[in-house]
Amino acid sequence: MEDLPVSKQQMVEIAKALCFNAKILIMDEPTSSLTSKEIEDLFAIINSLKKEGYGIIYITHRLEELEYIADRVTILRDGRFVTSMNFKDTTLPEIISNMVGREIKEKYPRINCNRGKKILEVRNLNAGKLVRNISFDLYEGEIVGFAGLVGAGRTELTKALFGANPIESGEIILDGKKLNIRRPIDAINAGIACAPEDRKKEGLCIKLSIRENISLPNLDSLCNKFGIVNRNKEKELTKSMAKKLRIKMASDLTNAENLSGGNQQKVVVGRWLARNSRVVIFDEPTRGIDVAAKVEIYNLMNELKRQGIGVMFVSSEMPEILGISDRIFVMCEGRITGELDISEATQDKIMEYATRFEKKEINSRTA
Amino acid sequence: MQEKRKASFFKNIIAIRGMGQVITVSSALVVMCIVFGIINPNFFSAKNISNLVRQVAPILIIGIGQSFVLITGNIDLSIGSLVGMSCMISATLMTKGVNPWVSSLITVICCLGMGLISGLLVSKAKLPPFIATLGTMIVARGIAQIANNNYNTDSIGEGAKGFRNFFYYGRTLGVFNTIWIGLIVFLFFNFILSRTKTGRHIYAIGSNIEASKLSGVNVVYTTTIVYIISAFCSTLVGLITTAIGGLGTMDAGNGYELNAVAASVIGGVSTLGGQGILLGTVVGSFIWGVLNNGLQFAGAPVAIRNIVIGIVVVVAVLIDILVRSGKEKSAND
Amino acid sequence: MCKKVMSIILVVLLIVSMLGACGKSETTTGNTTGTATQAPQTSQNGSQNETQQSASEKKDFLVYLITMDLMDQHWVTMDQGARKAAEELGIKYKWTAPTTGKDDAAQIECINNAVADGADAILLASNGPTTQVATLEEASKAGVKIIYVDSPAEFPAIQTLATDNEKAGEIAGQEMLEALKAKGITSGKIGIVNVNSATTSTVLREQGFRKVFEGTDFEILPTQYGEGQVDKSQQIATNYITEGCVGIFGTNEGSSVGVGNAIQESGGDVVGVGFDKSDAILQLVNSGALLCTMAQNPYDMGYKGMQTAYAALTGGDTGPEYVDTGVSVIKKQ
Repeated sequence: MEDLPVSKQQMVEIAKALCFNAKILIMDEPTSSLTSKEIEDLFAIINSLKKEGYGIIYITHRLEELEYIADRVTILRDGRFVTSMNFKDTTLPEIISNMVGREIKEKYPRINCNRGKKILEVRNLNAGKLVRNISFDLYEGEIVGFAGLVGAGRTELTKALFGANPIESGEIILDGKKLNIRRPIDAINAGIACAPEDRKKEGLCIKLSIRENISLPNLDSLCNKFGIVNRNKEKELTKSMAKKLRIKMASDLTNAENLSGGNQQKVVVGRWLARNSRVVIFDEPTRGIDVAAKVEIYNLMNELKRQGIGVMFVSSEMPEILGISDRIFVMCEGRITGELDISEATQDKIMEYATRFEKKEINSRTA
Repeated sequence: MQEKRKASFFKNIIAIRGMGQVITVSSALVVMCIVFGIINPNFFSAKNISNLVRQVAPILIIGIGQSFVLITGNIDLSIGSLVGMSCMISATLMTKGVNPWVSSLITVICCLGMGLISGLLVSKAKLPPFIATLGTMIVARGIAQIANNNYNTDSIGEGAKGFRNFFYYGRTLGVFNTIWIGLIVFLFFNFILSRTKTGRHIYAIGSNIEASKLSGVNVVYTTTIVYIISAFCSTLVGLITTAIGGLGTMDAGNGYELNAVAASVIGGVSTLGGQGILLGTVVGSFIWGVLNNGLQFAGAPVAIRNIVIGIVVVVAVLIDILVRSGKEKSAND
Repeated sequence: MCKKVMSIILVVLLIVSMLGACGKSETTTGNTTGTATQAPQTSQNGSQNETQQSASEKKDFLVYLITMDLMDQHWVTMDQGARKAAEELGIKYKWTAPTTGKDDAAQIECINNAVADGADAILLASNGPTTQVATLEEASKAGVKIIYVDSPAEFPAIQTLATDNEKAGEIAGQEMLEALKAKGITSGKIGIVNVNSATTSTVLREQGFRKVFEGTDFEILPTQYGEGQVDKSQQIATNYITEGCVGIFGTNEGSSVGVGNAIQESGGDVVGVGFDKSDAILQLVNSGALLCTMAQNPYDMGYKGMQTAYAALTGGDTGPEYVDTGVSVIKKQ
């Protein structure tokens, strides 16, 4: 199972659930790793199950899905029941404000900055079969989005840039200096930070405290020359990060596993903010977190953009990419198949680039 | 105001992760001691207490070594054989007339080399720690056997009196040297584990090796270091064993790796990694030592003795695994 | 891929080393001349020559010595005796034993391996008197001659050459009783440091020892087991001293060293009696820590046992079924 991509794993889970002949089906965020086609198929299945008399509890953050399948909507907030109503009797903004407890003016807060000098230059990067001949530039004052289907190679690209996957050939140039990245520590020291796709498996030490998680990549600056950690500095760092990111926690000694998804993501990101990073890579940062926390992540990305730090933003949610990025690169099967400025980008154009598969040679038919 | 300060002092102690288990186990220890003392008051005699603590010190030292390895999520099965190898190499050299301190130095170098091999097998060759240290365990035991051509050594002689007093028979300020050695080892390594960058890395690796890598932790270096630390502890106990017996025996240290695991696990160090504090290992070592010592004073027949010790260890490991994986299951949902 | 290969290699090495858990010492081939016409030295039957020459299968006999381990001075000396006799008689000779110490199952493997190797006779110091009966029955059916050295099993054999362990234990007890009487002590606690509850030889020694103290005013505390390891035995003895024992008995080499060291540390008032001979034990006897030690005659067991094997294989008179090779009481020189 671990050899399958996340989207296929999810399909297996759904199939498993359907095998049980249950009367009630509970689906928790089933579409987070699916492509649009797969989502369509899933909705078709859901609708036919509805007709057969199954009861389905469908948990999601993706409000745009509701119109295809929802009959009734129940909203929970902070562990409490808020309200329940028929879908056709309510509107999306009303649902959102019930979820958040306040009104969200804008779903995707966008700010405008002047583009500064070039920070990162990637030339002809090759790293396995999902990162092929990748070249792109990243400037100060912009958020660059990476769109594509699941399995296009975006996560693999971030891993290569971060030193987690081996690089076969190509150049990575940061602020004019050529980098030799072989392990994550090389990338970190050079000023590249990464919030990985799977925060529980790769982003956090789930059983360690919030404080220990935040300080882990920052230990160099928290230690004296003998390697002894300055505990006061550590406390200060955690406090300031928690404040900045509005991380909700009982105490900084709570284990990371006890936080909500959104707060966990803030810890993952918060770890890098103390370093003078030049590039921060976000891989699916808003997956599985609630609307309010999502906005805070977007604000964070904007803040970095404002500070002149380069932001790479990988996401499978097109509205999100279109809402926040300044430029969008589209990947397909390991290559960059298109570059769009935000002014000209649309969902269709992105989809077109995302499905530009390479023509494979077929030898069979001809005699 | 005084009340508040007292309350927050205790709160701070309990807040240290791992203290909960330490306190529970310490209470069990106290109860055990009282029971043994009631059965046979000789247990509480000054002579026995001082002997008892001296007997605990070597268990604590190897327990500390094993704890470091366990916290990274690995295990070291070669501890017992390294004790034997250290005992035999040092004793053989001494019987051949080499100065005891020079012998000790040579022994340390050889055994640390073994630890380095274990560390590299696990961290670089990516062998499962069970298999890697099983290998070094067999090799180290083999070296212990051929060190003196397949014989136990002769007595290390009068010239080693200073050495024997230093490691076992002598006292400083009225307390056995061995106890001081154990205390110093504990304070030193506890500092490393709780206050240094390497200590943080050790916990991080044991908690989540992927996330640690992606946070810039040098996993190869840290993993190798813990095996070298464990080897150092085993070597030290081997030297103590030579000092105790006054000769080298090829079967020295047999089975010690499991005693070390028991002491660690009873004290709250998890075999799954990322959890536990050395203070727990101290308490675990005392439980082990008190059991061994007290059961003799209680006149318990051998069968009961083995059963009791076996049950305590199995229960401790079971609780550890059940509690930890239960928590993991709920965290993964 | 590489990791898998290395794991497999290590596991294979493990299995091989466990099969070869019977370590082999150097083998001596007694192929001096093709015709073995010389009669064995202790031949009691002149008519042997005829049966020898009529043996048209003029093969070299292969005799195995299987002991309890390869480390104790005791077995090492026995090997020397057996080897000497084998050389003199022109017999092919191999010495083997479990490498991991007193291991019943491993010794069964050694027996099976010897039979498979074509042994004509086995000199066996049995670790499992009842558990090895089936194995020995098979060996006997395969035509292998069986002779017991040091510790018999419960399967009929040609001869048993051993220390009468119970008698030796009695002698040890008598020495201690007399020494205590001479000091004016007629009552008090006595401690026994034994090896384990399974090894017949040491269990018999304890039995003999206890017999001597029946009816006296001395109280023998529940026996403790130190596995024959020096440091464990020493801890046990130290605890006995804390309990106020006036005498302590160590039932084998390792136990005795531990007992002697403990008595020495405590000031030497306690009467200690040991078993077996080694450089360390002799030093303890000479320094007064141990009153005396019962030295067995493993050399004789090996030497005479080999001669009996030869006689059995060549149809000669093998002598009495039981040969007591005795003990000598070694006191301070």
